[in-house]
Amino acid sequence: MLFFVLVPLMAALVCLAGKSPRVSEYATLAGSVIGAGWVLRLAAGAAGGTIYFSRGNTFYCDSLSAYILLVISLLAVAASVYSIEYMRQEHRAGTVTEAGMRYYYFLLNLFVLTMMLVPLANNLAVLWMSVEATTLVSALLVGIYRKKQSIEAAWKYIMLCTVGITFALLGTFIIYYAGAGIVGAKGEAGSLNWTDLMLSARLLNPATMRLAFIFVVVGYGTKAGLAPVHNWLPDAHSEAPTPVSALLSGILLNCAFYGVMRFAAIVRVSCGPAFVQDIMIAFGVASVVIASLFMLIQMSAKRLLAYSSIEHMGIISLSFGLGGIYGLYAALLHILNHAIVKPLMFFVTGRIHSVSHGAKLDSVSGFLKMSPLTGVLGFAGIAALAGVPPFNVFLSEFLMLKGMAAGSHWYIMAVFLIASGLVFFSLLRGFGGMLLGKPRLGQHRAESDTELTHTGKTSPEMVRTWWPASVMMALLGASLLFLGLNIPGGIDRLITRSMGLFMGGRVF
Amino acid sequence: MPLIKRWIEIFGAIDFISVGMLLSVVAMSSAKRIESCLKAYVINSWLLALLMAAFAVYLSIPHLYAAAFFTIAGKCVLIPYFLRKIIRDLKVTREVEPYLSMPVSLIISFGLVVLVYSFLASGIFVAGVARNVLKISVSIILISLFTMMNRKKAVTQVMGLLFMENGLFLAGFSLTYGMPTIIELGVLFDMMMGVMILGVFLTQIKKSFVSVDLDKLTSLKG
Repeated sequence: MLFFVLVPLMAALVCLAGKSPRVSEYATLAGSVIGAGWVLRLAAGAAGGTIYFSRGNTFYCDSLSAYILLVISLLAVAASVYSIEYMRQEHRAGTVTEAGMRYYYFLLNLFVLTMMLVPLANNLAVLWMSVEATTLVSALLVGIYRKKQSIEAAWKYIMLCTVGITFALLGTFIIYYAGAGIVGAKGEAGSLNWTDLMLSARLLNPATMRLAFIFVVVGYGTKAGLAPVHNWLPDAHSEAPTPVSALLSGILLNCAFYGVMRFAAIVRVSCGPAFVQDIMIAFGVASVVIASLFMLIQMSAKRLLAYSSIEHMGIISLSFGLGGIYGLYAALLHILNHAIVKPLMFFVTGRIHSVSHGAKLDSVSGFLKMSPLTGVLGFAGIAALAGVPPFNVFLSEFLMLKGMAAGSHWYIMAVFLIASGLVFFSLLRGFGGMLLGKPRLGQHRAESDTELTHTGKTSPEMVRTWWPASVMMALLGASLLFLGLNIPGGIDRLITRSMGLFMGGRVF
Repeated sequence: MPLIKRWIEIFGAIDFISVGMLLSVVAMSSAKRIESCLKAYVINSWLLALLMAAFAVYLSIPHLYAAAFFTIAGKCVLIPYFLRKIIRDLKVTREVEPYLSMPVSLIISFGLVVLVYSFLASGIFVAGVARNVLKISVSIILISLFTMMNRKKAVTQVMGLLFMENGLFLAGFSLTYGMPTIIELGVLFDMMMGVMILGVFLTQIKKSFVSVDLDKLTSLKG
């Protein structure tokens, strides 16, 4: 069952072999759709309580893995649909060659493959290898334009994340050390399998596990974009091609956070939940506060969204730290919610940039009139990002607030509410300026000659869209609303089953 | 073999080799030329391989010989060859251009070692022949991190990263006496790929910035 993870690899090989970018486009699309179909079957099994093991137990899939995989595979479909529109535009604009497009799709498939390996890894060292592999592949994607800024961003990204993740490997070694001599079920010196460590978590030395967890949180936290080790994130997100930014923000950060969650599940059994909770809350609050302050001074739409990702990873970490039924449910649900709304906003921004050819916030206004569907989706996205009801993010944030009230964390609640006010203001100011007003390109005050006559005739030709991409974006927008009103039973079952891993009940 | 085992024990060979690794990192952090950094790295990697072999003999774990062999192939031959090629092709000037002077870097390195020894005194207790190695390896990791921050050139940053990885492998050995071989190979492969990709970016930085100074990489802020 698990070997289906190789589907993206097949697609990548087709991209490498195919002579035309069309072949790569459709291979990527087909690969992601087949992958999503497989993941849906897997998730249906996992929601019913089935756990899949590979031979030798190196890979396995329980409800938490299936949930993260589901998010990854659905977003992979969305990104490959949008990539077609985006890369064709870039090709038309002369930014990439046909060979460049094939190279892009090749890397995109490899990127999805490495991300899918992360939740499937049972062996913690294999988990580390997969996370490191995502860094290596996505750094190539970030630097794909070979402009000065994109190379700089890619360099920073690969350097900071590799250094950070080195600490995660040290933490993994320390956990191996803690488990050696205890775990050996098959006569080996020790085991790095998460399932084995989880079974013997009570026997592991608490002082050693504490040390290991600190290294792991710093390591994977760097990759997950938790402040104060987030510095690579805004650069990489803003300089990458837009579909890649969507994948980085929507799922890559969650893959790294998934690593933290797996370790947290072990450590909370061996050292007690309070230690894990304090660390996660501290990182979460720091991320929310720092991101909300930096959002106030951002001049570019993609950087604004990048900082908003830091804020939302902070929310996930904070809710995860709060623990309890509300906190854990909020954290897991927020992973899905953020993974829907953030890529949607990146896609909208990509369309805006395709007209404005500038990343600055004031380089365009009145986009709502140029492309009504995209504009409306953009507004829904802002409202959802800021946590306005009835959109999905409101639901998870409300659950988190309920968790705070249940634990009487009133100061944290006050800080969070102020920070989210600032975030709403920055988002509305930034995107409101681009979406509302008279249709106009160029700087607001400087060049009035680029002003469009808003007869409505010039608009459709300005924004060249590909209809399947519009359908996909509309579906994402609809699911914002749908998930805000009702959580489907399957997803609910996956989340509640996964919560068991962190509640001390049934292990797996 | 039993004789060699006795020697390793009597002469404290494990401690001896790991202190050698620490010294080569300190030498790197205060070196003035890129070639000296590279030499320090090669020495460091040979010592790491030697340490693995010593563990293999001392604890009679045959698969550690394989690990030592792959370390020699990857870290003592392939990576230095690749770095030398990059330095030659990019015509990197030979001075490393640190932000802090040599005596100051030496003092900071010394301070880091003291810090690690005082902090790791509790929390984790390693017994047996490798009892001192964890502290040494964490010192190596921190000194390399400091060196990465202290250097302007991109190439020397890559070197700092490589030293960090050696320190990490050392920590892994002191704690676990070697991971399963397949895991070690995977980690080694990931790191090799990382160095290759960094090499690709180095050439691109050189092409578009006409320099490999990280001072020039300042357009992205905030």
